[in-house]
Amino acid sequence: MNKTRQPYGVPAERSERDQLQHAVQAYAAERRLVPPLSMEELRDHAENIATNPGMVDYVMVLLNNEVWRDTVASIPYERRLLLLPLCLRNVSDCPAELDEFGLLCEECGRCNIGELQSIAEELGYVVLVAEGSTVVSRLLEGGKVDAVVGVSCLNALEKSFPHMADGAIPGLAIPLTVDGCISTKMDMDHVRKAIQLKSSKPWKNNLETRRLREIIDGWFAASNPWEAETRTEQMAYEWLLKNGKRWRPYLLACTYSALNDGTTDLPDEIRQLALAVECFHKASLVHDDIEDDDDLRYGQPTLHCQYGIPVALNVGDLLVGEGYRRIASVETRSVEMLRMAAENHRMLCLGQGEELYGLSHQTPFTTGQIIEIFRRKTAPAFGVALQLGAIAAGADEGLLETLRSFSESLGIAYQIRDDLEEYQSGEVLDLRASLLLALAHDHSPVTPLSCESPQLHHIFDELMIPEKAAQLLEHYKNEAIRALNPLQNAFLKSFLRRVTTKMLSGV
Amino acid sequence: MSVNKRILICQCSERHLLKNVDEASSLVASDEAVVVSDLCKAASEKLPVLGGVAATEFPVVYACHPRAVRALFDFAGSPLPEGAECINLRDPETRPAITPSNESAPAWFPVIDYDRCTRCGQCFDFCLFGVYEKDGDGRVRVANPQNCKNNCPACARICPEAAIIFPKVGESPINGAEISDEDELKSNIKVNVDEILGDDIYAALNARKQKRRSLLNRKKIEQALAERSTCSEDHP
Repeated sequence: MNKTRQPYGVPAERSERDQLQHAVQAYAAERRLVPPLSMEELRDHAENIATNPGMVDYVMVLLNNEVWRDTVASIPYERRLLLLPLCLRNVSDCPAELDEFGLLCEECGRCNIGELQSIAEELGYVVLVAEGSTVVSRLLEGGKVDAVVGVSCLNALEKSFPHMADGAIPGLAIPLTVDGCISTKMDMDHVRKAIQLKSSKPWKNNLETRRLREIIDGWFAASNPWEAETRTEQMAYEWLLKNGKRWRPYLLACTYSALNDGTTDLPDEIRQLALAVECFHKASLVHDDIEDDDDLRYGQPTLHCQYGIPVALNVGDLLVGEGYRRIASVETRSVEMLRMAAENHRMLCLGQGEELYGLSHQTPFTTGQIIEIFRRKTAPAFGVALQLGAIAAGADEGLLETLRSFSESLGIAYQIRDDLEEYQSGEVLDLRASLLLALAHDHSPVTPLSCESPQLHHIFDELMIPEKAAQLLEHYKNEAIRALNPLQNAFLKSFLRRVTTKMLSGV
Repeated sequence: MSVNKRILICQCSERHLLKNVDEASSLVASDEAVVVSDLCKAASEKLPVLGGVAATEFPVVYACHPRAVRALFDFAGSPLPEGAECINLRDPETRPAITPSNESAPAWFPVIDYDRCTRCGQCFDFCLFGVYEKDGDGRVRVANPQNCKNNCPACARICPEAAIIFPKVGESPINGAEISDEDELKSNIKVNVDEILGDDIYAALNARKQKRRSLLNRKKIEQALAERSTCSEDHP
């Protein structure tokens, strides 16, 4: 059989490896690179550093290590995971058994795995000697791992990197110096050093999200003095406290915390702003439900079903006013905050207006129109929360612009994901304002407008509409990630990278 | 003498002085290499096989110190040509780097039992080397067997249906042996990793460490018991 082999992209000589390592260190220090770096950022930088194009992948790995090194060093050993590849063992005389995760190493000394496992466990690590990438990928998905030190071939690293990037997981990767799946090699002293790495600094770049969540829940507790003197205020606050996700207050508080070295000491003005964004959100839901004639929200009757449309409209209006009142109560930069919130409020209404107008005229939307509606409707939702948190933390215009462009792309991606999910679940009956129908219509003007039409699925499949929508989703996701590039604050960059993953997962 | 019979490997089976002999043997197929159990013995008996190797232009000999090897061939009356390469397996650092050529690549690759395959595609996702490809209808096929890594049956281990076969592997049913007990198979096959891991990966992996240690202790005790009983037999 014909083995055509690509040369393995790790320098064969130790001196060459060390030389590249030094080049990477100098480069990262000079540019002040901030983690997490996306695959794209890593590649661009690596191409500047690597003198030989065959070494770009290897340099990417070194660079990623470099930007995370201090963070990993600050994370307690007990919260780190050591990943070793099964291929390091001596296949012919390894006495250990395998379970569903990988090797149950007996530290017999016939290969290096035992020594590394024992050093790491002594320090408090959890260790996994895994075969291939399936188990590793599962481990890295879902943000359950705080830090990783891993040895692997470049092939396997490439497979696990997207998961590391999605979770903005701090990690050090040591590529095997010799490829293959048996009797592979590594720089043992590099691995030992990586395992033992430790600094006395407090855990860096990690928000105490659980604590922040508790604080927010405390702000929205029904037992707080809400001073609801009238029936209308009572209805408004009751509606405000429904459904405990409080995603916008959470984004706001995390942004503020990230820009203040991860503090959990949140001033009262953050509380006021958090309540304000939730007021806006809940107001828009009341009005949406009326506009869409929906009967249920959170599995319960909508406000207008309970009290009638006039009362519901009025409660929504009260919540809007309440939101602005709370922003205005903040002492510094409140005019700036109000202007920003008002501009976004306008934008939301314009987007919603386009959609309602289009629906009432039975005119099919084009893809461009739908994207524009998404841009106007959803970007404000995230953008206001992020920007209020940032302004309260003293952000400059450059940072606010970054947050705006991030929330715009994220908002669009989020809506596309929503449309895809709705179509795939088969539950939605009205696709008129869906991106999928617009895509189909762009390609074939005869597309029927109703989801009940039996031909629709057939046409969608034929035109590969879900695939096209998924491509657009990927595009806007990448745009959102790219928007984070200028961020100089690693807390915020890591947090927003994780938010991106969290919001766009599930399709 | 055909051209491809140009490799000779000495197994040094009398003294076991050579390192990595098994690896060297496994890297070449039997029809292009001559494996002798002991080069010294072959030379003393002046086996014709040595003459066959020496008659080719660029023979490669995996044995001990090159000076010794050349002298042994001389002794047998079949001196090695100038172009001969002697690889010293006495040196533990020497890896038997036989360059895979058209003839020498090991025939190691998976085959799929389509009666069992459910097209779940896990093997396709799992393999790092592009051995598998997917047809339009989701059927996985072994498209690039030459990319498969020698001795790696990992994709077969993750197959939930035991549909992947590596005929040369030691363990059943990956080697294609009949599957007698489906229930036992199911319980042995990799269960859903997510379920085992649960929400706290650290707790799950620490629990696994305990399991590993107790397993090791049990093994040690069994070994000690076995040794004690062997010793008791020797000295009744």
